[in-house]
Amino acid sequence: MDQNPKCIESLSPECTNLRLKYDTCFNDWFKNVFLSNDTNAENKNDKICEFEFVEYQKCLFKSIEDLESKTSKQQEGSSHATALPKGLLDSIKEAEKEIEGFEKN
Amino acid sequence: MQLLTNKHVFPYTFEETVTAVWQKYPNEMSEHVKCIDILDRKYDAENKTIKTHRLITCQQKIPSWLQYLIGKELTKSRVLEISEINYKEKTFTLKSLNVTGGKVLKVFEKVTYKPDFESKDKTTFEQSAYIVGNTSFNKINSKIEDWSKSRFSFNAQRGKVGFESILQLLFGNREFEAMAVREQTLSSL
Repeated sequence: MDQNPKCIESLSPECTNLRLKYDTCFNDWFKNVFLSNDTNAENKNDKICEFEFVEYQKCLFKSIEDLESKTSKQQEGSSHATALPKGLLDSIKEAEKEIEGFEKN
Repeated sequence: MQLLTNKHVFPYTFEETVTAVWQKYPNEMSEHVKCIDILDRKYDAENKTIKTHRLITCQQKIPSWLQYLIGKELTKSRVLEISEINYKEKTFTLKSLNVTGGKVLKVFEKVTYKPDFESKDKTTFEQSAYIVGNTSFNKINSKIEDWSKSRFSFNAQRGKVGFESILQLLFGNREFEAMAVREQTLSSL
């Protein structure tokens, strides 16, 4: 079998199909180009499955923004106004830094 | 702080194993993993590396005392995973940290796949995890760390079985083949 027949969801269900298209393209490239010893097959271009990736990313980051505005609206209505959690993207950036810092130790 | 380590050898080549890593989810044994998203991916053709940032969304039952600490509205937890595969060196390293609930608990995990030094047909898997309770109270921190450690071990054991099921699906039942060969050898003696 070439690929796991079951598909895991994207954080937003409307992006799942776009991620699946990108994954299918990436998995094929990974197996047949990246892991191949055939240097002719090698893609010198750094952009892999660019069209599929851009379509999926548009959907994903829009969903993350929607998710953030939903969370901040919920927060406005709550009494814990001072305990506003950071947006998901900010938290991700912080985690990126922490992982990099952790690598050094 | 709690430290956990695991080591395992998969009877699949490095190429097979890393191919399966991208397709590990969903599997029946890792039902807590609900969503996977790729936030960023960079390919370096010259160095033969791919660096990937993935966001993993999990949902699992947690004890009510912990739910109280983390906050009722947070039912899904999210984890950032930064991975790098280097095909010249044949290593695949994945590092991760939780993005949500960090005020209560932090779980750093590092996983490395590389060809087994004894057999090129096999791949070693090494995992280490640091679990740190992050509240201001030592007693609560140790309680959180103990719970998290047992949950992590439970998920890791099941995750290994789930990963093996994906390897079998993609590349056939290697353990079974190895056993059959052994039986054949025995019967020919």
